[in-house]
Amino acid sequence: MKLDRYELKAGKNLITFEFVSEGPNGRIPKLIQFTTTNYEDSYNLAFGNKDPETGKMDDLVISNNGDSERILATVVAAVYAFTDRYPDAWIYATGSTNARTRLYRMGISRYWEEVRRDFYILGQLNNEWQPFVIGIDYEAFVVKRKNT
Amino acid sequence: MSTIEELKIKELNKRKAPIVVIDESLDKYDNVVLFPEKLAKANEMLRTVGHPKDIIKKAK
Repeated sequence: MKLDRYELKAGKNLITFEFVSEGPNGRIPKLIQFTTTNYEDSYNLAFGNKDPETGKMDDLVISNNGDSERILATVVAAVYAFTDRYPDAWIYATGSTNARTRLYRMGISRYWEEVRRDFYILGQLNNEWQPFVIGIDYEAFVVKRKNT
Repeated sequence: MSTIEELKIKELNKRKAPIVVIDESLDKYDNVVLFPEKLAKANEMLRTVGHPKDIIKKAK
């Protein structure tokens, strides 16, 4: 039995998180970052691989480490940690490719029963925001923690 | 793995907010935009589509 998600490290402001993907292609360090946008209390969520030699980030590389579900669970956990610290935050997320965006959608759908209790979740489609519905191919997502 | 260890892992898996280890070496990234293209895309989307605050207000 193993943890369903990776252990997370974060800077003291809980803005940048790090975890290490483990699988057939080895140990791959990954960073998650919540970046302020031009809009108050609104952040962009992004994550990708950290090149251990150059320190540069890559959000297009395909790791093929066989752990995409565990990675998604880890990103969801980071969103919980971030919104514990910043409960008024609106978090915008989209994939670096259409396939990645679909992966986000699948991740939300998989944890839907759990996350709908704690977050407002909207999908962006045809230039408008809509309450998230499972099965619709959105282009982007926004989540906001409910003040329960 | 012992039963106690398995129970601990089950408990950790149930937690929504994870246990996060603070690593101050990550603070150096806080003022660096690691994914500038994604941020630009987010800003452009929010500018053109608008902020979803109003939809949330209606849903409440």
